[in-house]
Amino acid sequence: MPSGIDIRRLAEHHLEVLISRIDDHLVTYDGKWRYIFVNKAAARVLGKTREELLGRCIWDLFPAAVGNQYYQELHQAVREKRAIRSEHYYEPFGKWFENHIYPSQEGVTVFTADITARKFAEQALRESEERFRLASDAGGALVYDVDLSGRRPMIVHGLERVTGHSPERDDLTREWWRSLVHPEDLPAYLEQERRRLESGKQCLITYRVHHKNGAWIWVEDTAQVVKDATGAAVKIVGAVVDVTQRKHAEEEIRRLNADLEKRVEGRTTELMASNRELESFAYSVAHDLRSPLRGIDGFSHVLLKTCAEKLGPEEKEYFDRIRGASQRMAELIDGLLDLSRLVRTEISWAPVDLTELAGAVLLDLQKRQPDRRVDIRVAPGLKATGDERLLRALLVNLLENAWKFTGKHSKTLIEFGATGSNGDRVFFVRDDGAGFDMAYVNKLFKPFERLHGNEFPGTGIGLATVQRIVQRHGGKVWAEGAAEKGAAFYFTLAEPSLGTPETTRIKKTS
Amino acid sequence: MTDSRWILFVEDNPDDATLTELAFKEIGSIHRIVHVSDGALALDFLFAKGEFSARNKHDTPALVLLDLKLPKVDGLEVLKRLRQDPLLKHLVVVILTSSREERDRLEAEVLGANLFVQKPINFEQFTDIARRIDNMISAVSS
Repeated sequence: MPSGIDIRRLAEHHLEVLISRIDDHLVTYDGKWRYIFVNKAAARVLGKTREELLGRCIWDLFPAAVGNQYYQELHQAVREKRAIRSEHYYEPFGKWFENHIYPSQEGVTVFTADITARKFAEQALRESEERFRLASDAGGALVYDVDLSGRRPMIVHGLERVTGHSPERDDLTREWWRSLVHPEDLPAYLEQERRRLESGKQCLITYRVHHKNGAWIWVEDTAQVVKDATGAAVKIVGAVVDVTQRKHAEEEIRRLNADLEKRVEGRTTELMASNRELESFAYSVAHDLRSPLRGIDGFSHVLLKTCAEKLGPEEKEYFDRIRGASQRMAELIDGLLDLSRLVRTEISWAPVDLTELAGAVLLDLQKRQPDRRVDIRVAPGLKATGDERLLRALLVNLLENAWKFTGKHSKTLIEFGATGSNGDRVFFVRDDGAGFDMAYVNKLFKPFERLHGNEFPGTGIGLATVQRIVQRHGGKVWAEGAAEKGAAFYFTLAEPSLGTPETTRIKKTS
Repeated sequence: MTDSRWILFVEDNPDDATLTELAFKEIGSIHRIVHVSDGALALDFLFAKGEFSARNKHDTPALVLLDLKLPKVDGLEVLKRLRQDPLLKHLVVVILTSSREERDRLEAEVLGANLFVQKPINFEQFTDIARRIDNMISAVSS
C-alpha cells in the first residue's frame, strides 16, 4: 500500500464519485426526518437545491405527503427495523418508482429507482400473453411459442384441448412434440421444420399426431419464425389446429367424386350403346320398309308395260300414281331416318362460319339450276358456335325451301342475315316467294304437315328437322309470312356458356 | 338367243329376285340367270357340293350378283370363301344390296368385290343397273 494515502478519504472520494453518477435518487433522513443527505438526482426530482433541503424536515417541506404510502412505509421500516421495498405510481410525474428503505442507527436511507420503462414492458408482456391465450381459446387451437436458444421452456396454450396431453412443464420440449408425430408423416415434418427455419417464411405443415386417447388426429401447423436484428432465428411462434374432420370430409368428397365420375362414365357408355342400338334399329327398319316399296314400284312398271295395249289413259295414270305414292313413301322414310339421326347425334361444339356455309349451299343450288335468276344476299361475318354438320343441315333445309318456294317467280330474292348482337342475335332466312298463310303458322314445324299440298314437292320433314336442330342448340325458331309475299324464318342459337339442354364437349379447332 | 356366259344370282327376297330378272329381260340381256336363294346354297353351288355335287366346278359364272343380307350364310362370307379358292377367286362379283351402311361397302371392298350397288327404289334405276352389269359381262372375254 503506497504511503501518504489516507484510505478513509479515498473511500469517501470514491463514494462521492459513485453517488454523483447514479440517476437514482439517494436520500437519508435523521431520527427527526430531516434531510441529512440528498444526491443530485433526488434534489432535481424534488425541485429544490441541496442547500434548501439539508437540515429541513421532509414533512415540513411536503405536508401533503403526510399519511401517504411513502410516509407509512418509512415509519413501518423504522418501527420494524427492517428494509422495505415497494413500488409506487407517482401521478404528477406519470412515472413508476421503486423505493428501497433502509433504516439504521444513523437514520433512514431511501434508494429510489425510476422503473417506469420496466413497468410498461411488464404490462405489454401481460397483455401479449393475454392475447395469446385469447387466440388459443377463440380458435380452438393450440398456440405455441418456442424459444430456439432453449433459455426458456416452450409456452403452449390449448395443448390439452387439442391433443389431450398435459405433460409436465419440463417435458414440454420440441423433441416431445416430435415424438407425437405419425411415423409416416415424420420425415416430411422434419423437412418442413428445417425449411421453415432456413427461409423464415410463414409456412403450413399438415400431419398426424397421436392423441392421448389413442387416435391419430390430423393437424395443420402454421408457424412464423421470429428473427433478431442480426437475422438469426430466435423463436418460432405458431398455431396448431385439429383438421381431422376436414380431412375426412375432403377424403369423402374425393371418393364421392370418383364414384360419381365412374357412374357418369357408365351412364354415358350405356347411353351411347343405346343410341347405337337405336340407330342400327332405325337403319334396319328403313331397309325393311324400302324393300316392299321396290316391289310396288317395280311390279307396277312391269304391269304397265305388259298390259300397255289393254289399258286406257286413265288406268295408266293410276299406275303412275301408285309409283308416285311409293316414291313419296321412300322419301318420307329417308326424311324420318335423317330426323331420328339428328335426335341422337352427339353435338360437337366448335366455331362455325355460317356465312360460308350459307354461301356454299346457295352456290350449289344455283349450280343445280343454272337457269334460275336469284338475287342472293348473304351477310358477311356471321359466326356461331355449334355442330357444323347439324348447322349445315339446318341451313340446307331453310335455303332449299326458300329456293323451292321462289321457283315460280322469274326473279327472286333470297337473303340470309342476322339482327341484334351477342346474346340477342337472331338469324334469318328470307325470301319473296310463295310465302304462307299466317293462320297456319303453328302447323309449319310439325312433321308431315305441308301447307302447299302438291303445289311444291316435299316431304314435310324439313322444318321439323330445322326445329330439332335449333332446339338442340338451345335456341328458338319461328316464322312469319304472307301468301305470295314471301316468308322469313328466324332462329337463335344459344351461346354454350349460357347452358344448353345437353352436356357436350367443347372442341377446339385445330 | 343366249350366250354361254351366265350369271349366278344370289338373292333371298322373291320380289327383288323377280324384279331383277325382269329388269334384265327388259334390257334384252342374253345372259342366262341362275338363281339361288341363300348363302349356303350359293357356296354349295359354286364349290359343287351338297345337292350340287353333280355340277362341274370349272363351269363358272361370268358374274356373281350377290345380295348381302342372306339367310344361313351372309353375302360377305360367301364373297370371302370364294376369294379364298384358287379357281373361284377371279370371279367377277357385284354386290347388289339394300344396305346403305358404309362399313358394308368398306368390308366388301376389302374382301374384293368388283362393284357395290345399292338396290334402287324405282324400276328405271333397276334397268340401268342391269344394263351396266350386262355390259360388264360382255366386256369380259369368255
